[in-house]
Amino acid sequence: MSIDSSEVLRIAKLARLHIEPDEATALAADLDRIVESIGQLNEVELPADAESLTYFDSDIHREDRAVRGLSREDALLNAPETDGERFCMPKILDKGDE
Amino acid sequence: MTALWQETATELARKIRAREVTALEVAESFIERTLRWNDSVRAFLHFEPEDVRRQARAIDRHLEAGHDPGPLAGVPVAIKDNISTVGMPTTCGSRMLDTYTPPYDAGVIDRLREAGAILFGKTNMDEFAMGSSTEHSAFGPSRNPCNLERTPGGSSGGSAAAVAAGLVPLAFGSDTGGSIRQPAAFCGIVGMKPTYGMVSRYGLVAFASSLDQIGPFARNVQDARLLLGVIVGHDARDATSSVRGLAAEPKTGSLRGLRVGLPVEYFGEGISADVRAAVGAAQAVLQRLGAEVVEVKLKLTKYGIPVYYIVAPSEASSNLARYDGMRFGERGEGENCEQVFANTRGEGFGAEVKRRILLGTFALSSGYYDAYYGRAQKVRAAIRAELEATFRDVDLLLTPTTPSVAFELGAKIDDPLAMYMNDILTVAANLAGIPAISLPCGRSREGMPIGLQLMAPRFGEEDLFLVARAYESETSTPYLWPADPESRSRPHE
Repeated sequence: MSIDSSEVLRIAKLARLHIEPDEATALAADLDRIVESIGQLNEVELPADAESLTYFDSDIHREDRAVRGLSREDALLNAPETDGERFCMPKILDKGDE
Repeated sequence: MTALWQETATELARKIRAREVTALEVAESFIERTLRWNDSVRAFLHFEPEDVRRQARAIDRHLEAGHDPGPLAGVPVAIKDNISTVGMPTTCGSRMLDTYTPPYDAGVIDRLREAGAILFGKTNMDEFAMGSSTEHSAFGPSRNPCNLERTPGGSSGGSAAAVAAGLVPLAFGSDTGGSIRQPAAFCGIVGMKPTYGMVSRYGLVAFASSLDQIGPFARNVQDARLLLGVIVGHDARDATSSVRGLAAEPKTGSLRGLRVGLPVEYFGEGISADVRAAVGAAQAVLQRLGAEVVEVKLKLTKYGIPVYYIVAPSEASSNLARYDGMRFGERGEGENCEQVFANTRGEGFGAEVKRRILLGTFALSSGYYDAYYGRAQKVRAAIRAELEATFRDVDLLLTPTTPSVAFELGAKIDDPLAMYMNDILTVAANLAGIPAISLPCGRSREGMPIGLQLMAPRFGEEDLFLVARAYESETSTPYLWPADPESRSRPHE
């Protein structure tokens, strides 16, 4: 697997991350080396039914009970734009063809 | 005479509780020291002397009223800037959170306040804890108090530098792949990553949730245990937090009968001669104290870095999706939502964070998931199984913490792979969720600190403290305070 700048731009789109074209060239070189070095994991001999570690067992459970969270005022405290009660954000949907 | 800033945390808490000194006198001593040093080491991103004094006066009033403020009464503690604190900014070393002040305290901050500690300030770090030198901080690097031309390590470099220079006796770091232990080794102090689940992650800004743990920095083992003792235990707000705590008193006794494993792979190519010699000498000390030292094999060691650099960026790419400019942080320009998201993130994140988000997004993307993320999780399970099998034969593992001593600022910043190799001896503990501690074990020929690492099975903290204290008292020398910044020339900017 080799990574070039068009692949970087494709991944950046998935990650909702704006990358300048010259940035993409440098990132492609770095990511290509990193992914190549990660490739050594293919050397590890694993049994066909090898398990996967995604979490550690927790020794505690709690009741599914509603508790008070942040107040609205606190939740909005750091927002770039609010109407006093809600977060404000740009339009999600384009108008489309009229 | 010992100045207050030179005292241990244990001794300061005792003196303040016994009313031999006031919390305000202690605070003033550390404030003066920090004002003198912080321009040189740049340990703190946020430090408000008046806020420190206000907290100290409150502790003194509490004592005057006959109440016990708690085990850390009046003891200043520095806090890594990815731990949420009401009333103090929490930037994570990122432009993205330049103006962010959390509306809630992290679980460990609740515990600190309950224990009577003084929240002294917020310390510098690599952006979102991604780095090994603090050079990826958006606010410039911290410097190593032992040599200002060198890195204090990272990502918790500001906390390590603050403790090493005597700006505070204790500090919090967070450790995802070695971010407490490596800076502790580079600065000549004690740093510990607890068992995964031992300390609540509530309010720790998430980097890689299956690897992150908060832990203590101190200049001696007893102080590190004191701080850890305050923050362990269950927190209902972190589903992975355990009910386990520390015992009321530390384990004592001889090391006779203890089996210490020396994994040969941790002493191979790339480990400097000075580090090898210092850890070899430490091995002899443990043998003299009665421990039996045996060679063990951890064949999967070299796969730790590739596993880590898939798992951690994958989790980060998901965790950092929340920085979209809607609820907090900076917001970029754009005509629609998609553009605002992309521009906010493109402008707000630094180069290393972008690299890791892209790497993680790639590893999780359709067509590559099984080959990269899936395979890494399987090798991760194999690494954990190999360690568990080894711990059936030995009680602890002894290794160097880092392959070499602190490097010069700028030496590795343009080579991400070289920077990543810093974690080669520390990542296994995070991947397997086990506790590990770094202790100072002498100096290199050029006078830079060297660290040794002890690892134990899950929840084996007390064994680590037992051996660490035994080693420390056997080799004890007075703490080597770094030369004052005024007495040496300032490094080039």
